Formats: sequence, C-alpha cells, structure tokens
Amino acid sequence: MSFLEFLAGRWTEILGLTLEHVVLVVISTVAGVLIAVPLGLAITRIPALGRPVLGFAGVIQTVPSLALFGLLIPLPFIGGIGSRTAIIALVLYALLPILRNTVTGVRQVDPAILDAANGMGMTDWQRLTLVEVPLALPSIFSGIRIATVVGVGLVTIAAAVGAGGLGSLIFRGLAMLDSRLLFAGAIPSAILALLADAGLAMLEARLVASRGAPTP
Amino acid sequence: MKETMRRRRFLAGTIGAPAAFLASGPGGAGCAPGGPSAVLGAKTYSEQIILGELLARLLRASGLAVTERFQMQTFVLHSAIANGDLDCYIEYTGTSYSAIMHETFVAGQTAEEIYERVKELYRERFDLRLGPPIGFANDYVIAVPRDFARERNLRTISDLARISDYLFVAGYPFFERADGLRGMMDHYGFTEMPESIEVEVDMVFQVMEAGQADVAVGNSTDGRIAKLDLLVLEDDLGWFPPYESALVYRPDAHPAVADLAERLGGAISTETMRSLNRRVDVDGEQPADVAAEFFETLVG
Repeated sequence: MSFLEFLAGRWTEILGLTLEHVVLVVISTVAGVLIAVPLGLAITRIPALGRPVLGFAGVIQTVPSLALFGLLIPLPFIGGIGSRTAIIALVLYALLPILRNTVTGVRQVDPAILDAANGMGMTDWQRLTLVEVPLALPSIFSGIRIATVVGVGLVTIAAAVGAGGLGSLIFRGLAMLDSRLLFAGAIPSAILALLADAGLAMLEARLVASRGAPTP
Repeated sequence: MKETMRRRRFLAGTIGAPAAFLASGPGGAGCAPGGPSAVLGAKTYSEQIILGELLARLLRASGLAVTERFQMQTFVLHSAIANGDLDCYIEYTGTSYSAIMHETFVAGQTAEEIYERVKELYRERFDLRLGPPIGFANDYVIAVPRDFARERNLRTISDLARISDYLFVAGYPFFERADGLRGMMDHYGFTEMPESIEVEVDMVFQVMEAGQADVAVGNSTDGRIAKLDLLVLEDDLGWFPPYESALVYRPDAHPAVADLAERLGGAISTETMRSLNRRVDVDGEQPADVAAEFFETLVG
C-alpha cells in the first residue's frame, strides 16, 4: 500500500488528531502568554523578581520534556494522565522564551524616549502601556513565536502521557517500525509549526503597523 | 519434586558452561573481540525487564559477556534479531504469529499448534530458532473494574461490543497491531469506535488506577489486574491467539544461548511470572533485585 493510499484510508483519524494537537498548542500558548507577559513586565518594574523568576523558567527549560511529563504524572490535582498534564508542562516550557523576550524588549527601549515620556508627565503606568510595551512588541512577539513553534513539537511528545494529538501516530509508528505512521504524524506537525509561525508573523506585522499609525 | 529436578537441570547447565565455553562456535551478533558474548534484548515492561535481567545472569553464569538491549519495542526487537544485531529475546507466540508474521488465528487453534507453526515460520522466513515454551503465557486481556462490569452488565468481549459511551485505554501498538483493536472490533462487530487514551504499554494500569478510563487492554500476567481487582472479560469469540513465552535466538549465536533456550523450557509457570511481576509493579521492588533472587532459586 502506498503512502497516499495509507493517508486516504486514515485521513479522518489524522484530521482528528491534528485538531487535538492544535487545541493543546493553542490552550498552552495562550496560557503561557497570559502568565509570562505580565510577569515579564513586572520584572521590569521590580528587578528583584528577575533572578528567581527567570532562573525558575530557565531550570524548567533544562528538564527533558519526556522526564517533565513523567514527573508531573504522580502529582495530585495538576498531574495525572492526559491533556491536563500536557498543558501544564507546555505552559512551563512556554514561560522562558516569552518572559525573556518581554524583559529584553522593554529594557531595550531607548532611554531618550523614556526621558521624553517622563518629560511629558506620563505616569509609570502610561509610560509602560503607551511607550514601552508598543516598542517592545516585536521582541515579545518573537518570544511568542518561539514558544508556539517549540510547543507544536513538544505536543508530539505529550502523547507519551496520553494527551493524544499527532504524537500518537509517531509513537505508534515507533512501536510498529512503520514509517507511514511516523510521516502521518510528523508531516502535519511540521506543517502546523510553519503555519503557526507564519500566522503569528502576520498578526505581529498588523499590530506593529497599527501602532506605527499616527495617533490623533 | 519437580522443583528439585528443575534446579538440578539448571545447576547442570551452569556447571556444563565451561564446556560450552570451550566449544564456542562462530559468534553471531555477540562476536566481540576478547571472548564469547551475546546481545540480549527485552521489551519495555516489567515482566520483560525482569526476564532480561534473569537471562543476563544465566548467560553470564555460562561465561558469556552480555550486552543488554532493554526497553525496546516488539518490532524493533524483531528487526534487530532478524538483522543480526541481537542474539536473543523472549517473545510470545501469539505476537509472533499475528503481529510479526501476519498469520490469521482461527478460534480453536491450540497453543501447541500456534507454537509449532511459529517455530516453523521463524526458521523459514527469518532463519531464527525458537526455544521450547518457558511455561507461562502472557495473553492480551480486556479488563474492567468490577463496578463498571456490574453497571453495564459485562462478562464477555461480546458484551463490550454492544455498549457505547466508555473510555478505553491501551498501549500504542494495540491500535495498529494485526491482533489489535481494529481486528478485534471487526471480529466482534463493535458498533462504534470507543473513545480512547493511548499510552506506553506499561502505563495502562496507571490510567486505570487513577480512574481515568473504564476499559483497559493489558497483559494477563500484570500484577495490577489483581491489585486493582479488575474483571477480565472472556474472549468468547476467540479473537486473541495464545501468547506462550519462548526464547527466540539466532542460530549463529554462541551455543550457550541455544543451551539457555533449552534450559528455560518449562522453567517458569504463569503463577510464578505473575508473582514476580507483582513484586515490581505493585510492591515497587527493582526488576534487577527480583531477577537476582529468582536466579538463586533457579540455580541455587
């Protein structure tokens, strides 16, 4: 049976697993953004937070993903087998790139611009939301893009703890030495990563363009 | 009485080892410089790791240097031994027959018939040898919590085929193997594909223990079936073949390997295997420790 015939026979299953995959990536990346962006901004205001928070995120990043999934399984409430464990691990992995890019983006804003903002009598909150965040947006976005693309890949490993998604096909392929299954899992996953990256790039371009427009 | 005989046989094998040592023929995968050796494989779950550790000890006692290749998937092991990268591993006849050789099991075929056919096919198709049955069988079983069985009125797999709305857990291979899910569903006329969780084979009963699934596909020798007090559904239409254990080995492996295969014949009963597994899966002992102790009772 050729690979195309194989795909034709399995396309509903592959589509279903692709959907599961997308849902896992979207939930975990959105949660990662909601946690890491505010936390990153907080670090720029309370520098003492920087070392422990970035240190924690950095340590998480060094734990091999399969091991992290395994470590989460026995934990009460957040652990167990299935998508919940996977989402928690993925959010943890999303933290570092988004945090670091948020902090770096804000810190790189030209001091002269900050002086100007201060000179205009802006409060700290106004300066943050009207000046620093908009200028840091490209950097924040590149963090989100990294987290998303890495997340698409990591979700395949989450299949090891019963999270489903395209990783199921890859693990079955490994177990069966069946390269058709490996490709049926790996190709859609690679396409998803490319699409996610391109989609976020477009979103970023749009946001940056709207920021650049002169305000009345 | 039988136990003593068996011990003596093992002892004899161990003492006879130096002879085998001297008579070392052409080495297979284990033909390393510096002495006779063998490469030993094992699958990913406790039973296989315990047996792997045991076999390693037995081969070392015969004077071989042993390279362990544990934690491998069935099909990886099969292709490795067929290619000559592995000298031996323990396989189950039903797995060889259905999953590896794609032969169709017909209800009523006996364990002996399957064993003989598998032995023949190993020789014909892959030029591999199959030792005598070790004595225990590790069948695929469908197990459900007793409460769930009572609620849904389940006793057999036919009963399961009629119901819907339950969560099913199995290891990855079961979703693809010839003796796996699709075939079983066709054979029993399942009305719909159950919603399922796919995990590593060894994690199936963890999922059941956490109460995250209603129906599990597992190994009959797994100690956790008894621990969790699961009901094994009767394979009333005879879908699953018998899965008797035996050592698959290469004809060009060191003669001590063939000798080991013979000595393993009838050496471990299903009850014994189950209790060894339970010590690892339920009591949390290390496979190597369990194997070391069992090795002593075998050759002691």
